[in-house]
Amino acid sequence: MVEVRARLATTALAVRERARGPLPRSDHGVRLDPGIHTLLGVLDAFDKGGPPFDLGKSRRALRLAPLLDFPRRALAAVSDRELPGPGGPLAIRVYDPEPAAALPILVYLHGGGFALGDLDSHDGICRTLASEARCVVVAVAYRLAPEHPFPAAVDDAEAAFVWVREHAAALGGRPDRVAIGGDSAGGNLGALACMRLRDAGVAPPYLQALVYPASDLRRVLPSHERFAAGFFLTAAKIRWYVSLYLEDPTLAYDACASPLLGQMQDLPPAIIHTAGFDPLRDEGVAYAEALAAAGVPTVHRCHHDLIHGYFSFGGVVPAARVACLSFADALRVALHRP
Amino acid sequence: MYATLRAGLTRMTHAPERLVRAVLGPPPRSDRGVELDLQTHALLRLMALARRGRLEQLSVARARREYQHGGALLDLPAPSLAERRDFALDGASGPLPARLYRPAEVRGEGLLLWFHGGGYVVGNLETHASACATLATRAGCPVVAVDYRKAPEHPFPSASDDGLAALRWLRTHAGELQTRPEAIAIGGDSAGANLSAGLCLRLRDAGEAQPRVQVLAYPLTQIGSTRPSRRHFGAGFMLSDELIGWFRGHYLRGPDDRQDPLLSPLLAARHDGLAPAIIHTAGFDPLRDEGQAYAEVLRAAGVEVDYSCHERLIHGYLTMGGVSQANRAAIHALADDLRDRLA
Repeated sequence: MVEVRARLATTALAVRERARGPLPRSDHGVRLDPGIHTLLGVLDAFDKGGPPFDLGKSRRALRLAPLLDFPRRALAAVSDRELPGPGGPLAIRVYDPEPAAALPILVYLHGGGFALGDLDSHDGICRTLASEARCVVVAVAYRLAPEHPFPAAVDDAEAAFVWVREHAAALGGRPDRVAIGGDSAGGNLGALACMRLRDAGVAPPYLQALVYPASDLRRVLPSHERFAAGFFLTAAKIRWYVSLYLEDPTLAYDACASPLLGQMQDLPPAIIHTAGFDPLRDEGVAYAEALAAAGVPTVHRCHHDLIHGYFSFGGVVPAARVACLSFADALRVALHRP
Repeated sequence: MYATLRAGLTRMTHAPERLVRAVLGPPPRSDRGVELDLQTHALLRLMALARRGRLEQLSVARARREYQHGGALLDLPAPSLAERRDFALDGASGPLPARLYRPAEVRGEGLLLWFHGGGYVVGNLETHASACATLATRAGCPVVAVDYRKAPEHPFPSASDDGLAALRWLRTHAGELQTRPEAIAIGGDSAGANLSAGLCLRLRDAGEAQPRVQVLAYPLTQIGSTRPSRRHFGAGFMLSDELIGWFRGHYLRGPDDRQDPLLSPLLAARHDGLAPAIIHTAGFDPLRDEGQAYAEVLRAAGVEVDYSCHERLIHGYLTMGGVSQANRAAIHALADDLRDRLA
């Protein structure tokens, strides 16, 4: 029985390798997850490469994101609303898995390089987080670049958090348990919002929950070169995103845009998940290490066989699904700690 | 068009999950509110239906066979290695069977001495062969597994004595295994983790060098613990109260052994001066809370600790990689922590 299964597994691997080449290995010697490898093959077929990149096409392509995301699960209450942002009303979507209970709240900032993404692109994962972490998720459609360059998105993230905390009870949540988080660019915004709130002397979020955060827009750590191409998020794409977002490129070297360069003291406890084959891996790891070194309670986990973007692939790649759920579990335990 | 495509894709990728949920009902939730891994839920239901896995109702000999052959069905196929060699090393009173797992790609000089789980009664080199090979490959570190003596033939502290002898033997023969004495880590799962934690205390108190790392997968850290997880998961999650009691009846010589820090490392007078620890627990494990407590006392004593709880999993996931993707991810996470610690 075991021998038969071993044979089958070897054969399946051989077939896959015939089709897609051997599984790449990271500098840690870990092989890429086979499901991700297959997905990359599919995505490559659609992605015509670049640069130059087309903003309109890229945004339209993200409408397909729900195909790869967790299937939309039914929640007790999902409502689209607005909150007053610093540059006009901001669209938010409130996911409440248990309207009868006052639950912790997660203010969620989606990824997409500061230029792409909206409430629909991350709808599946937000529903999953709300249900699995048993919290109210408030997804924020912060303003995007290049129409609204830095610091519009950070301003929106901070304002959204403050507004949500003020209105926590009305949103079905607990004002003392409002966390902030996001993936990729959203992780950058979440981390920066925590720093701004600390500097402003107001109570920090209960928790910061960051998935492969873009903590260092300088793009100088080794993973940027190591995973520059072939793993979904490419160096060229990152350069393009940052160029759309930062009108003044030297801002990348400023802590107001790159949280890794900031002071870590007195920041809220952090849950940070990173991916092994990700140009942003090293800055995510470095951020976790810097927080821990400053005495901030930090839980970091690197999913070594996954790529940037796995948080949006939970519907089609089992390993990504497991990684997303492990993040939701960590969030649940932290948000509901007695 | 998107809606149709999405519906089709969802049906394709989630049909099995829907089916399992429809047939078995929703999986149980832990006291922390986390749902049991779906495949693990299916496994537990199947085992209950087949009346399998109740080792405590069998004779010792049959329990050992059942643990080995039943367990093999749940394992991952072992990855291929550069070398897998059986040999003997010196235990406390005679030679012990041991096995070297050398992966194709070795990073650094580290080596992991592995003590398998099985309540000090069941388990051998075969039951953990896949887990050891997977750990070795993923961590890029050779593993030496040792088949220490088991109860009831050899009660406490024979296994600990064998563990100490095995580590000393490896340190003496480090060169032959292309490692250095100070690069050797020790670890194990369940009873093997209990053995490893006790061994670190023993080495410290004897003034011998600590291992490079102690790897503790869902460790037992206190005989007779009354922490909440023991109550929550004492029945229906593989490692039951009855089974723990059966193991304990075979291994302990008497009630006095309960307080011995080698068996209840959580009760040791002090926890400073111990090797850095990697402690992983499972959310649906009666031993979850004492594993977490051990991580906390070590940290409080200034020991470096990497602690993770795999909230959806049950005791024994290390040898059940074939059951679910979540088990595989957890095995890999343990190896990843080991690789990082050895780097």
